[in-house]
Amino acid sequence: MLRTHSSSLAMSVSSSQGLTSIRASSNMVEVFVDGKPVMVESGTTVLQACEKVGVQIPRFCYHDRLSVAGNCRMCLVEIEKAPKPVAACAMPVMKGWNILTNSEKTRKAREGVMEFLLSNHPLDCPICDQGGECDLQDQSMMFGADRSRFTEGKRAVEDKNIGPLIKTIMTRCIHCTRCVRFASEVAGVEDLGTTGRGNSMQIGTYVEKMFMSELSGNVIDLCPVGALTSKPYAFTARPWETRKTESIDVLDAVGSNIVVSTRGGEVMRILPRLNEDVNEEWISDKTRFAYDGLKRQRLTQPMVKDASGQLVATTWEDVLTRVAGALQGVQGSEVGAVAGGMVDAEALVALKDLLNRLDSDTLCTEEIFPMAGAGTDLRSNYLLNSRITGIEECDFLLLVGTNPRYEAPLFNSRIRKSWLHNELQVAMVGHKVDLSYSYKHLGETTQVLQEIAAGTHPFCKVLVQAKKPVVVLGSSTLQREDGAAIFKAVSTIAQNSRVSSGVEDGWKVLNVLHRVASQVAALDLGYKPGVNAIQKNPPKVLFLLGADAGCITRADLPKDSFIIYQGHHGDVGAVMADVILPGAAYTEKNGTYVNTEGRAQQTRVAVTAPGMAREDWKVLRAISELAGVTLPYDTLAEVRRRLEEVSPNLVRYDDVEEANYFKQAHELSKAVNQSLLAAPLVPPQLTVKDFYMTDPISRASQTMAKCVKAVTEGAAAVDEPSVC
Amino acid sequence: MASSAATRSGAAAVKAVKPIFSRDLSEARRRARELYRAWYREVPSTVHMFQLDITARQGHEKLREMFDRNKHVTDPRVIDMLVIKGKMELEETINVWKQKTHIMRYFHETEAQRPADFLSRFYHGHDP
Repeated sequence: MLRTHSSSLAMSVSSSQGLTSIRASSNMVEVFVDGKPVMVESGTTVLQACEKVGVQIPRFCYHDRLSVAGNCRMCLVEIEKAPKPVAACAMPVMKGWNILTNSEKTRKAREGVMEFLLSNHPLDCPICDQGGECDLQDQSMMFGADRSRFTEGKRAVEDKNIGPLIKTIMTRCIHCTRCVRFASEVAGVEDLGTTGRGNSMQIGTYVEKMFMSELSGNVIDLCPVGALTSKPYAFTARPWETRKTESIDVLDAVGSNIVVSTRGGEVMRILPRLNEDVNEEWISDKTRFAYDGLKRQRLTQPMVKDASGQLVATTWEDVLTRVAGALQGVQGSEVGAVAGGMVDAEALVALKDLLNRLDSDTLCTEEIFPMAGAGTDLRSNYLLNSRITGIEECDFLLLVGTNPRYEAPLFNSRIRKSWLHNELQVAMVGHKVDLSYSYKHLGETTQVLQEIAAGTHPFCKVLVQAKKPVVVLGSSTLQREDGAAIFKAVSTIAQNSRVSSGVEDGWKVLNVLHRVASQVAALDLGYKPGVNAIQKNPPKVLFLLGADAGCITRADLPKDSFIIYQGHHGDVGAVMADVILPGAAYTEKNGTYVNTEGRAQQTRVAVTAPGMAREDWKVLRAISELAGVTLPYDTLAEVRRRLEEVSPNLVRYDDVEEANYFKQAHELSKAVNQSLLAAPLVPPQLTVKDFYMTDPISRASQTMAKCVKAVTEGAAAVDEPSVC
Repeated sequence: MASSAATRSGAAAVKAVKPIFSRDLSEARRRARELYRAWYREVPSTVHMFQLDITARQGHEKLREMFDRNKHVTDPRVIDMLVIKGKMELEETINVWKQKTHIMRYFHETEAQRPADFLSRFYHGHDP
């Protein structure tokens, strides 16, 4: 079976590169770029052929992830012996063409187009946020004329209000229609469009409507001029003043690659980083705009509850001595820990090592995962096994009890991309939600799930015909009491459709979509999913590591229990604690996070943690030293070596460690004897207003609060300062 | 075995470089010794000239410590460069081109000691 797989791979590689001689003559075309010959596939555009050689043609409206518009005309290049210059982004190459990218005519064309674009463009550079990173500025310097012939008046356009996130100054718009194409193709909301023509053309929503998509912030990156800019970032910084740090987003489980721009020790904005496998070049609105929550409600000083019950700031020495004393004064079975959703793997392993040295193994995560059957012993049970790029190859997708649009927006955008270009069929079992693509809604009861698993549902006929099926189970369904039974049913569906499709062994069908960034790393390190173990055996000393979901409260614990909270925001967990240890947020530490596919990625320090806060694993190491069970690592490298000892995939960054044993996991799940409850499968995030505030950082963010207000009461209700 | 012997002879053959002052290690060490003797004789008059608050014995101990820092060096050219720098320092000290503060810098008195172990660094601040 391995042999057939590798031979099919070899066949596909040779056909795509056109190495075999029979293919070459029909597929590849020879063109010349400034005299240099290059072989390209037939059907590639002039612009792509030039890029293959390394010549970049200037453009405004062309974007390689959107459809071709060809309306800016900046990409005009001369073809030898052709009467007119051609738009390089739209014209497919013909055999033997000589593309002259720097000839007299090409240069004249570029100067002319630039002159026209600038003729109606306002002189806003000093007050425009795009200054310094503006395509128009850069291309006019490189390709435009040096003197102006403009003596007429410029037209002006009214600004449109499309929400509290995007600032629109439509006078600067050059009508490239990138935002229109993005909204209709990638985001799936057909709100933006063009009205009028010629000089009176306007881009907008025509009626006063908010551009309410979870990916709306990406138009800010797409817009080549300062027409669409970020409202929270307006007038705060210039791009050359900022330091850029590459990092990972942890507000959801996708692990989008970001760039954190900082200046003077504060985060100015967050931009996406290109990663073809995870987030392409988009990020969701929560990722992009929730950074102002990093400055509010922060824990900056160690705190202790004094005699009157008030939390009072104190020193590290004091608080660490208390914590160490509490840990030393109890037996192993009376200590427990709960880990939250944004904790890095270094802190998780330090906490586990610390508690194990104190004879305790009661380390739980807030998110539940059913332990019946194979549970978390087989990695394939809790990962997004097909990977995010696998969605592009599959032809049938079944979503169970999840709303990927708001739980993992980048995953949803990949599904939409596949639905749009590769004719993916999507079906959903669960509450009917508005996804940005059409799908077949099969029902929301567990009865439907049972029928599909048994093969009696009428939909099974379609499922059987799928060649490369994928089943995605949302982690919110596993939080229910019948989570094990749901997992068993979905596992059966996945196994049956795998067998009936006859797909090769490398293809994985069963996937779980998580909602928190630290769940996969915690399960890899051996944490018990769900706080069952703590509820059954309430400990005297409870360590909350960033645990803000409120799964365990004071009521569940014995009367004189001691709660230690370590985290970065004063949220639910800090309120019920006796001792508070201030930790670092994701922009302030070098942490390892494993996304829902099983890909380990690392965040880097962009700003230092405020006040007396320290990196999380360092706090735990200090506690261990004072408690007499010193952990064997002093530096980050040593902690990562320990991570590698436990699970080597945790330090193999940007690589997915694949998991296997689906058949065995399925066999084990068959032994589960739980019955499905009648309650319908409803994911927690149904509409866009549930999307914005889901974790301590976004709950503390004023921008996210404005978004929620705008969605519930309308864009006009949001109080904006009235600067231009 | 044979390969390591070959590399050793190969390494020895490569080492024909232009000397700075001394042609071999013994000459370089002789220069270092002469420098030490010159400094040793200069220390008491330095203490007197700059009105330092140290005793001559402390000065001699510091001199020994500074020379001991480089006792592992075997390359004659490196030893020559260190001797040249030592002679420059000696010239500046003899001619009172330095000042009290420059001499006392050898004693690191006002430098705050950086904490070395994990817990002291943790209490002290965010150390990268």
